[in-house]
Amino acid sequence: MIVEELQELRTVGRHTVRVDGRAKVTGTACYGADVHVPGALHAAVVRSPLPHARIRGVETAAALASPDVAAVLTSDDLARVLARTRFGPVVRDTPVLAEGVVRYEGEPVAVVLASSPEAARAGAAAVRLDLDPLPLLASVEDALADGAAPLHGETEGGEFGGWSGGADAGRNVAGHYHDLRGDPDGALAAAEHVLSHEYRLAPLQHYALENHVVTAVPDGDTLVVHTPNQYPFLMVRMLAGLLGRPESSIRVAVPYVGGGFGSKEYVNVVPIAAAAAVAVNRPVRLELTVEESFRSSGRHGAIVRFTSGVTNGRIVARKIELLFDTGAYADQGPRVIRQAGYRAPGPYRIPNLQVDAYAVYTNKVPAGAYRGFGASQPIHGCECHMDEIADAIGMDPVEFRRLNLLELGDDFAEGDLPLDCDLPTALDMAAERVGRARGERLPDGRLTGTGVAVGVKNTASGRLPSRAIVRLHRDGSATVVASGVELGQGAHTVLAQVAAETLGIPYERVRVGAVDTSVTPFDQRTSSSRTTVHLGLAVQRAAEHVLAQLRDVAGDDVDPADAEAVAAAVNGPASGLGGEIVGVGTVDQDAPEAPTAFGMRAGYWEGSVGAARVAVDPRTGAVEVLQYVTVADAGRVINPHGAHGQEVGGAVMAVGHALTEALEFDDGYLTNPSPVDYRVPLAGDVPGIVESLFIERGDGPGPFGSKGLGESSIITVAPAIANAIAAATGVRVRELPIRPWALLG
Amino acid sequence: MATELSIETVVNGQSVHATVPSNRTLSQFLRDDLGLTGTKVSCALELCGTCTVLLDGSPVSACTLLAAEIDGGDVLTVEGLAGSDGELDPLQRAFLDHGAFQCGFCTPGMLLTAKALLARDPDPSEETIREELHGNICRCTGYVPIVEAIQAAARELRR
Ligand code: FES
Ligand code: FES
Repeated sequence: MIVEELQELRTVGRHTVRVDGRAKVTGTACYGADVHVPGALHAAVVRSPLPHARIRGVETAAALASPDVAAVLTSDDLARVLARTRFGPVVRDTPVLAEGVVRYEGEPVAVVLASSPEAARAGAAAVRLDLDPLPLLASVEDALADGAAPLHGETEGGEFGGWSGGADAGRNVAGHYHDLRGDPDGALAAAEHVLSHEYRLAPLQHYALENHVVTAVPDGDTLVVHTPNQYPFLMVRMLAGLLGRPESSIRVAVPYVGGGFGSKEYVNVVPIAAAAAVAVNRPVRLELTVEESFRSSGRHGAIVRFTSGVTNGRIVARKIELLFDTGAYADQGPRVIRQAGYRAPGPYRIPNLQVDAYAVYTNKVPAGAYRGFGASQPIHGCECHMDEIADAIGMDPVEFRRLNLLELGDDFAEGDLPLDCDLPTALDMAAERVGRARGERLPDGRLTGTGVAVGVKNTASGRLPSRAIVRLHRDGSATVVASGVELGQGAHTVLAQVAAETLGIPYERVRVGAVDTSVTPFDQRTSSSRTTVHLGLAVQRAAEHVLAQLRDVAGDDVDPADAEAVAAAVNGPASGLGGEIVGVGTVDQDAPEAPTAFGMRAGYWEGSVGAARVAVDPRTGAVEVLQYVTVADAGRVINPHGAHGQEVGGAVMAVGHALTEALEFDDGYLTNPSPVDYRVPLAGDVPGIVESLFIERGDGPGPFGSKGLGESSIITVAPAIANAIAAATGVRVRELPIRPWALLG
Repeated sequence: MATELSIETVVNGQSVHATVPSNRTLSQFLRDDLGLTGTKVSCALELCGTCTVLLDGSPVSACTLLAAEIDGGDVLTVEGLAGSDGELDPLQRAFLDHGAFQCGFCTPGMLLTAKALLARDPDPSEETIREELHGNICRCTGYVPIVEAIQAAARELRR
């Protein structure tokens, strides 16, 4: 651990019991499924059994015959209450309920509303769909083939002003990112070594334990939506657009979220429940099963191709092609591939570069945001490719990286924020911890090997405003009013710590209110490791605003922790403070356009360095991760448990991505939509040693010099493990997950 | 149509008499009839351990066990772990002190699985704990702090 002399603080950097801790260990924490609205109808979704078909009819009579069924709604019914019937963050291509065509197995076609969940499900099972199968685009190769039928006609763009550059619906391309620097072809022709490799990554499921759930409640001219969602204000905007109502008439209340990892964003559950509630003017609750959650979103499966020219151990040119399978609707796909393309070269000095990244429509469950947002797939390719090059030119993989690695202050791309994370130091720390092994035999006959991987992601790029309110009450306690969603990442605890530290009051006196868009002020979204930095800064500024007002009334020497002094100040004659002190803090991030292919300047750089030590049984191919080390440049850790928790949790999650997890599609049919066949890491799969190390220099842009975490560890786990396996066995597997049988001669 | 059955049971130390449809699951009974929403449901297939409660001291999956099957039994849910004075169980305390949860969705089931383990084995090895947790999925923490918290609670209980 590297900690440069940082000033000791009272709350920041220390262990504190989470603000949501007691509620979560005693069972009183309220999650989406615990929201109880009397009289709510229960919804069940009728889903397409085919991956691509024309809808000839929807037979509802049998379902409606049940006295418990209140309504069966199809897209025609919704069209009567919706101002527009399609939504989508980048391209408005997703119908709330299918309109004439279904494009993936599991696509919502109708919704049944009934007095109980069982009656709703029975009703859904009684609805008969008359479908005419259409030709299938089962893979990106199918979709890009000459003569492939386009899955979409022209679609409206940009619900949320998202980027859909290079889209070509006629070729099934939902987005294309292109970057050209220097003369890669010329440089490749002149290089000493030229190496090309292709890697394939399976599509993945977030598998948050909490399934998607929404309760939508019409209340006069307001629609109240209770749902675990990372983007409450974007939900407001989306619903206002769908319903043709002002944003002030939509209220999104976010309870505790039972895990997100990117899944709880644009999934088609909020629009269905909201539209249904408005159509029947009654509260509607929709709770998906685990199978339905599997059929709602996921991480892009990808084919990534890297070609590099190397002379004297230095990379002189690199060409990259990324094909991301975005499924039947664009969702966040175009934004994901733009990030993927920008991050793909890796944190290396590469004078000549070409990148082409495509999001391709297929007849599969739409893929969208996933923890790491486009970084994991290309960095897996990049870091396996780096090891393969090192092998081919006879260099040590750590040495080869060091020779080419960008250092603190270097440009990742000219015009972007210079790199503000220290990758070479992090690489040295990680590599030293695992040591060096290359095929040595353990006493039990297994082979050991070590591997490293390095990545970096531009984080919080663009204009991502945040606003927060801090209220100092007359008794010297305080409430933070902010829209940071508590996904489990510890956002509320960090915000409470920042408020307590800034105000100079004990942490225990600070509460953080629940997110409710009619009460808590605007925050762009809870994503991309930005909450600590942006919302944290807004809270810090709000607390400073409180202090300034208090000092105006009570003088510079007033102690905000002195309840009597605060009470005297807020209640004093003509204090003008009206019973409490309300501070407002705003971050309107200054993110000028950057002259890069990506177009926006990074808020900061989130570095990711991992090292793995594995043992492989040569008889069975079974892989055990003996040790995993992850190093992050955290700027300054606000909450040690929270920070280590993000790093270790992300690392173990990605052990699943490396070794066991894959959504299996068979001609468009998802064959493993449950935790039996989709194998996430269990307690026994965790590496014997998992270490998370931090570099802390207090140099981050967030409060007290902090940076964002949360996505850093996950990005480099799979390539570090793949490289360790190759070192142990001499077998290079170019597919994820790495199955035991792939390692058997 | 499901028949109605009358059951007598103890839930978190309180005796409960109720009439339930024969197909009602224990999780529905706890959450919807008794308002004990601390018990969470995820897979509803007896695979993930999220819904774990204790029946006569042994872990069971409330998502598939029928309410009728607890007739005559003694059920402990997460709401019953702390004392009536609000004093936390050493496991709850240890989970707080070790950062053994993030989203908290797996936590009630984890706590009850651990409770049963420590009742049986006051000094479990790390390996025993990991084996015992095999049926409880956590997607957030990577299990490491959960194992640490259970070890710490075991130490505390042995003192
Ligand atoms: S919810 Fe009962 S085992 Fe998964
Ligand atoms: S804390 Fe989220 S699943 Fe365990």
